[in-house]
Amino acid sequence: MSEGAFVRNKEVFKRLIEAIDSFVCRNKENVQKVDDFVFEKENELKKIKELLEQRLVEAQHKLQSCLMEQAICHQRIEYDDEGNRIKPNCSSENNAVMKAQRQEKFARNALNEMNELLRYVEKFVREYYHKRDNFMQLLENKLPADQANLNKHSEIVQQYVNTLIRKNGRKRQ
Amino acid sequence: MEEKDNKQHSENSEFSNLVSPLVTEGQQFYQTLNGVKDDWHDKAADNFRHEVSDHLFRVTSEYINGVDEIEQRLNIAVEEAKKLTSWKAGSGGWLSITDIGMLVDRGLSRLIMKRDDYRF
Repeated sequence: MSEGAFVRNKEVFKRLIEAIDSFVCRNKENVQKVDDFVFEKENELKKIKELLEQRLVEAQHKLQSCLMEQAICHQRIEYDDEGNRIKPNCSSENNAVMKAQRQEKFARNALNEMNELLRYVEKFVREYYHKRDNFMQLLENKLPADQANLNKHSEIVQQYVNTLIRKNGRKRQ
Repeated sequence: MEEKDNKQHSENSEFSNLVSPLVTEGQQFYQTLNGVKDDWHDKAADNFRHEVSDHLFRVTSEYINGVDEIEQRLNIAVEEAKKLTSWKAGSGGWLSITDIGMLVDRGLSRLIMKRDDYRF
């Protein structure tokens, strides 16, 4: 052993190795729970985005249909009581177009907001995964290497203890 | 051991179900390290203490804070996304994206593992 070495209890290495084992094992489970949470929330957000996309498509179809009805109305030929040709009354079709345009605009705004929100989420998830990767590096590489070093120290201490026992045995003889 | 686990879990009850077990694991690990601090003194012990006290503490704390942040941020993001499914959404009366950004950043980056409490 190196000069100035001091090990009061050789079980110290065993306890440290076990502590690292437990820390690594339980935290891998904890990381998995966090990954599941992130996956679940991302899925929830994906479903909401799909709903908003679907609403925009429906709003666009509705607008197309209203515009068509408005066009048909404007092409209608109508006469007054005296037989004079008059402009058809398309106020209800015009109102329907305005309402559909408003709904289409709302649906588009909501989807734009959702996309903006998802850009934030992507950034946040990237930040999280960077920290997760560092932590996993610690659990999968760094701590096992520390454990191997502790094992080595444990063996050295055991050899030292064995040597002492042999020396003491010889002295007694 | 189980009693000790429960005690620490209840002490960490201010944290969420995702953060609390990570904090508890960190605390227990440092308690074990503290428990053996008088049993081993040499150059290798100094190196080990340095590695564990500084590197492990920093990476673990960053990860725990990261979990705390992502949990809050994703929960807020889902709440905001749900508001967008309202039929009134997109009409201009909903929360602006700047507000969402502020909400998402609110109350984050608190240091959960207190370095001095678990010094090895």
